[in-house]
Amino acid sequence: MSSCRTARAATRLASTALRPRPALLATRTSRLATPSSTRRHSTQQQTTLNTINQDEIDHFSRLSQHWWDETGEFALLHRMNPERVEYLRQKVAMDPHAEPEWTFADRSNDKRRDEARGSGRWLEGKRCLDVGCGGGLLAETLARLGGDVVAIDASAHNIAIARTHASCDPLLPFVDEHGAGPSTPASIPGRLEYRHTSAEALHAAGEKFDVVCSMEVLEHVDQPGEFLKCLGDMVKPGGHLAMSTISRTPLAQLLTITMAEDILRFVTPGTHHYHKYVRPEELRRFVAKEMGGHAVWEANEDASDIRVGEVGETRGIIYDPLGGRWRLWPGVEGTWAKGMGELCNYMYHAKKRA
Amino acid sequence: MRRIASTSRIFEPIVASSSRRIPRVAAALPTFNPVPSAAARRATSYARAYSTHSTAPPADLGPIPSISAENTYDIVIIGGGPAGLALASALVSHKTIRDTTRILLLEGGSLKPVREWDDQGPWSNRVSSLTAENIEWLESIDAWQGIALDRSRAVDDIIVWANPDTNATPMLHFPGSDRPLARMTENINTQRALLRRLERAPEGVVTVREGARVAEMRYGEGNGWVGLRIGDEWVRGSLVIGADGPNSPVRTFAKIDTFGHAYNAHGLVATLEHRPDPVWPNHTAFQRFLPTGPIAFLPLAEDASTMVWSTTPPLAAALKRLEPAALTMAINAGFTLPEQDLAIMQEALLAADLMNAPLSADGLKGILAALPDAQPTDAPLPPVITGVQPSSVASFPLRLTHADAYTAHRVALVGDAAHTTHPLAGQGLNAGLADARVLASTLDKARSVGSDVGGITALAPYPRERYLPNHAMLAAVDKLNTVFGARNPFMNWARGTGLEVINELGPLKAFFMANAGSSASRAPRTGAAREFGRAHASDPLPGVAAGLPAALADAAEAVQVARQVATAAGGVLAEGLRNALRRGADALEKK
Repeated sequence: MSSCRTARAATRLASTALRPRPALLATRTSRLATPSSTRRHSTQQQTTLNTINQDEIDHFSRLSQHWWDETGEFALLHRMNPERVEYLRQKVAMDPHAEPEWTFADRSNDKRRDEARGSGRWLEGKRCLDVGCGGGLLAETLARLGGDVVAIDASAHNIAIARTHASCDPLLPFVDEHGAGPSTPASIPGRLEYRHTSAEALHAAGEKFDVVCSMEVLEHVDQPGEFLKCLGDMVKPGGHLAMSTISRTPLAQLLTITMAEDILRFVTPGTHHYHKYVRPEELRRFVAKEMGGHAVWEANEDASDIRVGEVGETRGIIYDPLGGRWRLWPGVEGTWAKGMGELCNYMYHAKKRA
Repeated sequence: MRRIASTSRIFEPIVASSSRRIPRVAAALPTFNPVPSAAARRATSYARAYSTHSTAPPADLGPIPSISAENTYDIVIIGGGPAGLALASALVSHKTIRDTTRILLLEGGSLKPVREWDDQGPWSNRVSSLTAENIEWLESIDAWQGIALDRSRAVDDIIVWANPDTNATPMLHFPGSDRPLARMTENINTQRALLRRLERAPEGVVTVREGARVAEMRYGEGNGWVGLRIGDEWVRGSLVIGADGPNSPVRTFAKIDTFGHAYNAHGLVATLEHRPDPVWPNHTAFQRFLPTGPIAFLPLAEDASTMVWSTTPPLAAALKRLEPAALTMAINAGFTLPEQDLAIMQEALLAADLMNAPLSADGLKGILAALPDAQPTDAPLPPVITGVQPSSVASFPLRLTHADAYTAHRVALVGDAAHTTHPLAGQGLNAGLADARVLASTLDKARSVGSDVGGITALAPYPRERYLPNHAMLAAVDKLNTVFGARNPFMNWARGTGLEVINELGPLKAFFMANAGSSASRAPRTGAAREFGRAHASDPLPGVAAGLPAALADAAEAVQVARQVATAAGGVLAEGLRNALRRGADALEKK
């Protein structure tokens, strides 16, 4: 891959998805746009909040007390959580690369082994990072699954809410801000720690994780390219990068902004910005061109990245209003039907080579 | 800001709750003072104030002491009845639950009689019909193998009739196929099998505590858990499941209202003795609809059966007070006598009971002998009973109840806590088992994606799958009771015709059987049964007809049958018309 194409792709990604709103240009965030400045300031807490948009922080801080109201502002997010963890389960617990080798002698145990892989605390022993944890919706589930979870958010209010909520659940292996805990019995594995910091700061500190998640965050950061590189770097070899976000299509505009915000008021108006959305193919191409491509990331087991220049799998996730739940959209890569599912919300997953 | 204030509520689970006691005092006051004095009025207002106060947390309610990790559970099930035990067994049959979850089952009474039940001795009067679907499900969770099969009677045929007119007996016959429609099983038999299933579960998954009455229930800090006080000890759980019967304290705690109505009826149950029939083995259930309610004869063994006679409360009380010989006679009469004769007998019973002198066997014999000779009925009759086990006679009030919701924050309801119904279709326990099945798989799914099992979102699939089917079942049973209890010429005609049509139309009957003999929703087939498509050659082909396609196919078949019937009827009509015309023509010719 020529550097020219790489640069062009980066520009395209930046010019389409990453373009900050003019009003935000004056803020500190826009001044830290280049990767070099990120690295330079990364040791200082204040200046490392570089891909984070201050307006977004303020917005979610205002909403922070609603995080755990399962019927309120974040009801749709609460309902989305099981399905996106299910996606993670399919990718992490049922990972075909980590499948134990099949032997003839053990042939009669196939079914039981498969059942065992995806059940129980399937994140046990895995170090997980949740970037943009909000109230801790995802982080708590990861910790319950046995994961050693570090959850970060740029809003101090969110972290405070998340800590309060986790401390009220006696069965969560929660570690408070002073490092005390977990108070759960040893039979409950896992660890849940919230930190008020940014992904860049964590990256600069050299932290690595088996599973890096960033759910519904990409559409809220200012420089998704930098943000993605940072996340990708923090994935251990053999680890997973999983994200969910919204595509930049007229349908997404209609559903997530016009309907959900302006008409039905499920979500507070101003939560989403159309120009910040990222399309699935932009994401896959970015990982291929800017984040090391297939030299760093595994090819998908189902050959869904068979097209050149794309890494990882995107999968649509749609809300089923009749069933009251989200559903992962099925379909074969490259077909029209699969693309239809990714017109609005979608998941992204890539696995790093061991 | 850091700590969310804990909301707390108190309740007393046992019958005499303070909120019930206080209004009674208040209501009693005016009868003592026809013109209430100021003091009485003060007393009334005090009582009211107190009664409203009792629902709010009293000031002296101390904080919940800190609860140890051993006393912290994921799921607390309250109630060791069939529904609670089935739920616990279903939960441990799921791998994720087994590996990650601690479950506590609380039973207020003792489970010793259940554990030590030796499948001998007299029949219990608490018998339920278990549908084929639920049995299949119990097999799939490894519970059915603990059933004492010789104490569980297969029901191969069901015969239902109502004959207000002795000349006609419109009847519905559900014939058996190769597998029984249902099995009459004592609740204690089911409970013991489920308890044995729990005892086979890995150590530490389920803790069963007997004699543990919950004295108080409160949400913990930040609504993150529910604390339960048992005596002086507190335990807590992320989710509390009420399997605690029709007057569910858990339902009260969760402030879930119910709706429904009392049937003006009591169900009288008794174990009947009869001679074994050499020709017809006792595998048929009979149900006769009387104007006062249905009387059902349900087989238990070759020489024993159980009965549920739903009738007016005074009559049920009068029957209960009869001596065994007289009761035997009355029950035989209940199945055989024409309705007008039965009415005479019932009036005599009630009159004698009102005088506090229940009829003796001889007295009843005299009354029955004085009745006009009954014409032989063409109704298929159950065996003539020879005796009643006196200790088994009991009665209970019948109610239709449905909870407004099955779940609340950290609370779920199953079985009778969520719904009660008329026993005429034998659906109460079956619906409870279906609840347990669905709730267990909902919790398993929630657990496998790390959800908080007490959250509304995690529990949502359970009511979504169960509420409407249960509601349809409750409503259908309610309507059946009305339709079969009505006695006026139009209803008699409509019901009689309806029964005959249903009895003749195969697909329609299959539809009713699916709803009357089986649970509202189908349990998934077990893996073993699915292996080669079908367990038995006569089973329906899998994947061929299910859900909407099956409904469409059934509808198409029904249309075909209706067309055939219409064609035949049209043929008969046309023939009749032709005959009439010919006759008319002949008559004209003769003139």
